[in-house]
Amino acid sequence: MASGFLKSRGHFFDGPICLIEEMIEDYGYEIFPVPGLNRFAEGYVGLRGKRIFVDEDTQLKHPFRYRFTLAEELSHIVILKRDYPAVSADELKAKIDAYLSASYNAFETDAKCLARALLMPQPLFQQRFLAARQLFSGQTLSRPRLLYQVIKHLSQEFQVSRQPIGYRAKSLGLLTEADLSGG
Amino acid sequence: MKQNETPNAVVAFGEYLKDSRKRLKLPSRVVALKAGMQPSNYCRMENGGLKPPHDAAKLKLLAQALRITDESEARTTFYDLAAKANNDVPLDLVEIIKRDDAIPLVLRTIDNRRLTKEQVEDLLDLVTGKNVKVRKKNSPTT
Repeated sequence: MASGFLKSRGHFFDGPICLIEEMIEDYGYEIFPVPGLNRFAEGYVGLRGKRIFVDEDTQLKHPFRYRFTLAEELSHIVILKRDYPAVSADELKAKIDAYLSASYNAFETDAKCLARALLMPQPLFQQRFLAARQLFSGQTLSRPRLLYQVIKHLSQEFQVSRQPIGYRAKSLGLLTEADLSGG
Repeated sequence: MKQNETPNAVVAFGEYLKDSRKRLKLPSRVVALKAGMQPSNYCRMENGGLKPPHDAAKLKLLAQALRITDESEARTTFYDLAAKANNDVPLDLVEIIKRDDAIPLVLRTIDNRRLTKEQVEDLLDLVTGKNVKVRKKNSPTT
Protein backbone atom coordinates (compact mmCIF):
# COMPACT_ATOMS: atom_id res chain seq x y z
CA MET A 1 0.00 0.00 0.00
CA ALA A 2 2.83 2.39 0.88
CA SER A 3 4.67 2.01 -2.42
CA GLY A 4 1.43 2.53 -4.34
CA PHE A 5 0.64 5.66 -2.39
CA LEU A 6 4.17 7.05 -2.70
CA LYS A 7 4.18 6.40 -6.42
CA SER A 8 0.86 8.19 -6.83
CA ARG A 9 2.03 11.28 -4.95
CA GLY A 10 5.25 11.99 -6.82
CA HIS A 11 8.69 12.57 -5.37
CA PHE A 12 8.71 13.87 -1.82
CA PHE A 13 12.12 12.77 -0.70
CA ASP A 14 15.32 14.67 -0.07
CA GLY A 15 17.78 11.81 -0.20
CA PRO A 16 16.47 9.34 2.38
CA ILE A 17 14.41 11.98 4.17
CA CYS A 18 10.71 11.86 3.47
CA LEU A 19 9.32 15.39 3.11
CA ILE A 20 6.23 14.38 5.03
CA GLU A 21 4.97 17.92 5.64
CA GLU A 22 5.12 18.74 1.94
CA MET A 23 3.52 15.40 1.09
CA ILE A 24 0.60 16.04 3.43
CA GLU A 25 0.02 19.55 2.11
CA ASP A 26 0.21 18.34 -1.46
CA TYR A 27 -2.41 15.70 -0.53
CA GLY A 28 -4.73 18.54 0.40
CA TYR A 29 -4.45 18.50 4.18
CA GLU A 30 -3.30 21.34 6.39
CA ILE A 31 -0.97 20.79 9.33
CA PHE A 32 -2.28 22.70 12.32
CA PRO A 33 -0.11 22.84 15.44
CA VAL A 34 -1.96 23.19 18.74
CA PRO A 35 -0.29 24.27 22.00
CA GLY A 36 -0.88 21.80 24.81
CA LEU A 37 -2.43 19.11 22.64
CA ASN A 38 -0.03 16.50 24.02
CA ARG A 39 -2.07 16.37 27.23
CA PHE A 40 -4.57 14.41 25.16
CA ALA A 41 -2.86 13.19 22.00
CA GLU A 42 0.21 13.65 19.80
CA GLY A 43 -2.03 14.32 16.87
CA TYR A 44 -5.39 13.70 15.29
CA VAL A 45 -7.19 14.21 12.00
CA GLY A 46 -10.00 16.73 11.53
CA LEU A 47 -11.93 14.93 8.82
CA ARG A 48 -14.30 17.71 7.87
CA GLY A 49 -11.78 20.52 7.65
CA LYS A 50 -9.00 18.39 6.12
CA ARG A 51 -6.58 19.22 8.86
CA ILE A 52 -4.03 17.23 10.79
CA PHE A 53 -3.70 18.66 14.28
CA VAL A 54 -0.37 18.10 16.02
CA ASP A 55 1.04 19.10 19.35
CA GLU A 56 3.09 22.28 18.87
CA ASP A 57 5.65 21.41 21.50
CA THR A 58 6.34 18.10 19.75
CA GLN A 59 6.59 19.91 16.45
CA LEU A 60 9.19 22.34 17.74
CA LYS A 61 11.21 20.24 20.17
CA HIS A 62 10.94 16.64 19.00
CA PRO A 63 11.19 16.74 15.20
CA PHE A 64 11.64 13.00 14.74
CA ARG A 65 8.54 12.20 16.81
CA TYR A 66 6.69 14.99 15.05
CA ARG A 67 7.48 13.50 11.66
CA PHE A 68 6.25 10.09 12.75
CA THR A 69 3.05 11.58 14.15
CA LEU A 70 2.39 13.27 10.81
CA ALA A 71 3.06 10.05 8.94
CA GLU A 72 0.76 8.15 11.29
CA GLU A 73 -2.09 10.63 10.88
CA LEU A 74 -1.63 10.61 7.10
CA SER A 75 -1.76 6.83 7.26
CA HIS A 76 -5.10 6.99 9.08
CA ILE A 77 -6.47 9.10 6.24
CA VAL A 78 -5.10 6.83 3.54
CA ILE A 79 -6.45 3.68 5.20
CA LEU A 80 -9.88 5.21 5.79
CA LYS A 81 -10.09 6.38 2.18
CA ARG A 82 -9.19 2.89 1.02
CA ASP A 83 -11.74 1.19 3.28
CA TYR A 84 -14.55 3.76 2.89
CA PRO A 85 -13.97 5.54 -0.39
CA ALA A 86 -17.37 7.16 -0.83
CA VAL A 87 -18.31 8.01 2.72
CA SER A 88 -18.78 11.53 4.10
CA ALA A 89 -16.63 12.89 6.93
CA ASP A 90 -19.50 12.63 9.44
CA GLU A 91 -20.29 9.04 8.47
CA LEU A 92 -16.61 8.19 8.70
CA LYS A 93 -16.38 9.63 12.18
CA ALA A 94 -19.42 7.60 13.22
CA LYS A 95 -17.79 4.42 11.88
CA ILE A 96 -14.57 5.08 13.79
CA ASP A 97 -16.49 5.84 16.98
CA ALA A 98 -18.33 2.55 16.61
CA TYR A 99 -15.12 0.50 16.28
CA LEU A 100 -14.82 -2.07 19.01
CA SER A 101 -11.61 -1.86 20.98
CA ALA A 102 -10.01 -4.76 19.11
CA SER A 103 -10.85 -3.29 15.69
CA TYR A 104 -9.59 0.11 16.76
CA ASN A 105 -6.30 -1.35 18.00
CA ALA A 106 -5.85 -3.08 14.64
CA PHE A 107 -6.61 0.21 12.88
CA GLU A 108 -3.94 1.96 14.95
CA THR A 109 -1.42 -0.83 14.32
CA ASP A 110 -2.06 -0.69 10.58
CA ALA A 111 -1.56 3.07 10.62
CA LYS A 112 1.76 2.74 12.43
CA CYS A 113 2.94 0.11 9.94
CA LEU A 114 1.98 2.29 7.01
CA ALA A 115 3.61 5.33 8.63
CA ARG A 116 6.89 3.45 8.95
CA ALA A 117 6.65 2.33 5.33
CA LEU A 118 5.99 5.88 4.12
CA LEU A 119 8.92 7.33 6.02
CA MET A 120 11.23 4.42 5.25
CA PRO A 121 10.30 2.88 1.86
CA GLN A 122 11.48 -0.68 1.52
CA PRO A 123 14.20 -0.65 -1.14
CA LEU A 124 15.76 2.55 0.21
CA PHE A 125 15.64 1.35 3.83
CA GLN A 126 17.13 -2.04 3.01
CA GLN A 127 19.93 -0.41 1.06
CA ARG A 128 20.72 2.04 3.87
CA PHE A 129 20.47 -0.63 6.57
CA LEU A 130 22.95 -2.88 4.81
CA ALA A 131 25.27 0.07 4.15
CA ALA A 132 25.13 1.08 7.82
CA ARG A 133 25.78 -2.48 8.94
CA GLN A 134 28.79 -2.60 6.62
CA LEU A 135 29.98 0.72 8.03
CA PHE A 136 30.02 -0.50 11.62
CA SER A 137 30.94 -4.13 11.03
CA GLY A 138 34.63 -3.22 10.83
CA GLN A 139 34.56 -2.23 14.50
CA THR A 140 34.81 -4.84 17.22
CA LEU A 141 31.27 -4.69 18.52
CA SER A 142 28.91 -7.21 20.00
CA ARG A 143 25.81 -7.86 17.90
CA PRO A 144 23.53 -5.79 20.14
CA ARG A 145 26.03 -2.95 20.15
CA LEU A 146 26.47 -3.15 16.37
CA LEU A 147 22.73 -3.07 15.80
CA TYR A 148 22.38 -0.16 18.23
CA GLN A 149 24.92 1.82 16.20
CA VAL A 150 23.18 0.90 12.95
CA ILE A 151 19.78 1.99 14.28
CA LYS A 152 21.21 5.20 15.69
CA HIS A 153 22.85 5.95 12.35
CA LEU A 154 19.67 5.25 10.39
CA SER A 155 17.66 7.38 12.80
CA GLN A 156 19.73 10.39 11.72
CA GLU A 157 19.63 9.43 8.06
CA PHE A 158 15.85 9.05 7.91
CA GLN A 159 15.13 11.67 10.58
CA VAL A 160 12.95 9.17 12.43
CA SER A 161 13.17 8.00 16.07
CA ARG A 162 15.02 4.79 16.86
CA GLN A 163 11.97 2.75 17.83
CA PRO A 164 10.24 2.95 14.39
CA ILE A 165 13.61 2.23 12.78
CA GLY A 166 13.87 -0.98 14.77
CA TYR A 167 10.31 -2.03 13.98
CA ARG A 168 10.80 -1.29 10.30
CA ALA A 169 13.97 -3.34 10.19
CA LYS A 170 12.20 -6.22 11.90
CA SER A 171 9.25 -6.03 9.50
CA LEU A 172 11.68 -6.36 6.59
CA GLY A 173 13.49 -9.30 8.16
CA LEU A 174 16.64 -7.33 8.83
CA LEU A 175 16.36 -7.76 12.59
CA THR A 176 14.82 -10.42 14.78
CA GLU A 177 12.46 -10.02 17.71
CA ALA A 178 15.36 -10.95 19.96
CA ASP A 179 17.48 -8.18 18.41
CA LEU A 180 14.77 -5.66 19.17
CA SER A 181 14.43 -6.70 22.77
CA GLY A 182 18.19 -6.49 23.19
CA GLY A 183 18.73 -10.22 23.47
CA MET B 1 -13.28 51.54 6.67
CA LYS B 2 -16.50 49.92 7.67
CA GLN B 3 -16.57 47.83 10.85
CA ASN B 4 -17.67 44.68 9.12
CA GLU B 5 -14.89 44.93 6.53
CA THR B 6 -12.23 44.02 9.05
CA PRO B 7 -13.00 40.28 9.49
CA ASN B 8 -13.04 39.74 5.71
CA ALA B 9 -9.83 41.73 5.37
CA VAL B 10 -8.18 39.52 7.98
CA VAL B 11 -9.28 36.43 6.06
CA ALA B 12 -8.06 37.98 2.80
CA PHE B 13 -4.64 38.62 4.29
CA GLY B 14 -4.49 35.06 5.58
CA GLU B 15 -5.45 33.65 2.20
CA TYR B 16 -2.76 35.76 0.59
CA LEU B 17 -0.19 34.35 3.01
CA LYS B 18 -1.34 30.80 2.30
CA ASP B 19 -1.26 31.28 -1.48
CA SER B 20 2.20 32.85 -1.30
CA ARG B 21 3.49 30.02 0.86
CA LYS B 22 2.00 27.30 -1.33
CA ARG B 23 3.55 28.87 -4.42
CA LEU B 24 6.90 28.50 -2.70
CA LYS B 25 5.99 24.92 -1.66
CA LEU B 26 7.05 25.61 1.91
CA PRO B 27 5.50 23.99 5.00
CA SER B 28 3.80 26.44 7.35
CA ARG B 29 6.23 25.48 10.14
CA VAL B 30 9.21 26.66 8.08
CA VAL B 31 7.63 30.00 7.23
CA ALA B 32 6.52 30.53 10.81
CA LEU B 33 9.99 29.97 12.22
CA LYS B 34 11.60 32.21 9.61
CA ALA B 35 9.09 34.91 10.52
CA GLY B 36 9.91 34.51 14.20
CA MET B 37 6.40 33.28 14.97
CA GLN B 38 4.91 30.34 16.81
CA PRO B 39 3.66 27.90 14.15
CA SER B 40 0.22 27.79 15.77
CA ASN B 41 -0.09 31.57 15.52
CA TYR B 42 1.08 31.57 11.94
CA CYS B 43 -1.53 28.92 11.07
CA ARG B 44 -4.21 30.94 12.80
CA MET B 45 -3.16 33.95 10.76
CA GLU B 46 -3.35 32.00 7.51
CA ASN B 47 -6.84 30.89 8.46
CA GLY B 48 -8.04 34.37 9.28
CA GLY B 49 -8.02 33.82 13.02
CA LEU B 50 -5.28 36.32 13.81
CA LYS B 51 -4.56 39.79 12.48
CA PRO B 52 -1.19 40.65 10.92
CA PRO B 53 1.52 42.07 13.19
CA HIS B 54 1.19 45.80 13.90
CA ASP B 55 4.94 46.03 14.40
CA ALA B 56 6.75 47.07 11.21
CA ALA B 57 9.80 44.92 11.91
CA LYS B 58 7.69 41.81 12.54
CA LEU B 59 5.65 42.42 9.42
CA LYS B 60 8.83 42.83 7.40
CA LEU B 61 10.14 39.56 8.81
CA LEU B 62 6.94 37.85 7.72
CA ALA B 63 7.33 39.32 4.24
CA GLN B 64 10.91 38.11 4.07
CA ALA B 65 9.88 34.64 5.21
CA LEU B 66 7.62 34.55 2.16
CA ARG B 67 10.43 35.91 0.00
CA ILE B 68 8.57 39.16 -0.59
CA THR B 69 11.42 41.58 -1.08
CA ASP B 70 11.36 45.35 -1.18
CA GLU B 71 11.84 45.13 -4.93
CA SER B 72 9.08 42.60 -5.63
CA GLU B 73 5.65 43.49 -7.00
CA ALA B 74 4.06 41.45 -4.25
CA ARG B 75 5.32 43.91 -1.66
CA THR B 76 2.55 46.45 -2.32
CA THR B 77 -0.16 43.78 -2.17
CA PHE B 78 1.25 42.32 1.03
CA TYR B 79 1.45 45.62 2.89
CA ASP B 80 -1.88 46.89 1.59
CA LEU B 81 -3.69 43.71 2.65
CA ALA B 82 -2.01 43.82 6.06
CA ALA B 83 -3.03 47.44 6.51
CA LYS B 84 -6.62 46.70 5.54
CA ALA B 85 -6.76 43.81 8.00
CA ASN B 86 -5.48 46.07 10.78
CA ASN B 87 -7.59 49.03 9.68
CA ASP B 88 -4.40 51.01 9.42
CA VAL B 89 -2.02 52.79 7.06
CA PRO B 90 0.31 50.40 5.20
CA LEU B 91 3.39 50.05 7.40
CA ASP B 92 5.80 50.30 4.50
CA LEU B 93 4.40 53.78 3.81
CA VAL B 94 4.88 54.78 7.43
CA GLU B 95 8.55 53.81 7.14
CA ILE B 96 8.93 55.73 3.88
CA ILE B 97 7.35 58.86 5.38
CA LYS B 98 9.64 58.69 8.39
CA ARG B 99 12.71 58.26 6.24
CA ASP B 100 12.33 61.32 4.03
CA ASP B 101 11.11 64.78 5.12
CA ALA B 102 10.13 65.58 1.54
CA ILE B 103 7.46 62.86 1.42
CA PRO B 104 5.10 64.41 4.00
CA LEU B 105 5.57 67.71 2.18
CA VAL B 106 4.49 66.10 -1.09
CA LEU B 107 1.48 64.45 0.55
CA ARG B 108 0.38 67.67 2.28
CA THR B 109 0.82 69.64 -0.92
CA ILE B 110 -1.31 67.15 -2.84
CA ASP B 111 -3.94 67.40 -0.13
CA ASN B 112 -3.82 71.21 0.21
CA ARG B 113 -3.96 71.77 -3.55
CA ARG B 114 -6.85 69.33 -3.81
CA LEU B 115 -5.24 67.58 -6.77
CA THR B 116 -7.58 65.36 -8.74
CA LYS B 117 -6.91 61.68 -9.23
CA GLU B 118 -5.83 62.36 -12.80
CA GLN B 119 -3.41 65.08 -11.68
CA VAL B 120 -1.87 62.76 -9.13
CA GLU B 121 -1.47 60.14 -11.86
CA ASP B 122 0.23 62.74 -14.06
CA LEU B 123 2.53 63.60 -11.18
CA LEU B 124 3.37 59.93 -10.80
CA ASP B 125 4.14 59.67 -14.49
CA LEU B 126 6.38 62.72 -14.19
CA VAL B 127 8.26 61.15 -11.31
CA THR B 128 8.65 57.85 -13.13
CA GLY B 129 9.87 59.60 -16.25
CA LYS B 130 6.91 58.94 -18.53
CA ASN B 131 6.38 61.58 -21.16
CA VAL B 132 3.34 63.50 -20.06
CA LYS B 133 2.15 67.06 -19.77
CA VAL B 134 0.88 67.81 -16.32
CA ARG B 135 -2.76 68.82 -16.42
CA LYS B 136 -3.69 72.05 -14.72
CA LYS B 137 -6.72 72.09 -12.54
CA ASN B 138 -10.00 72.19 -14.49
CA SER B 139 -8.36 71.69 -17.88
CA PRO B 140 -7.82 68.39 -19.68
CA THR B 141 -4.22 69.05 -20.84
CA THR B 142 -1.84 71.98 -21.11
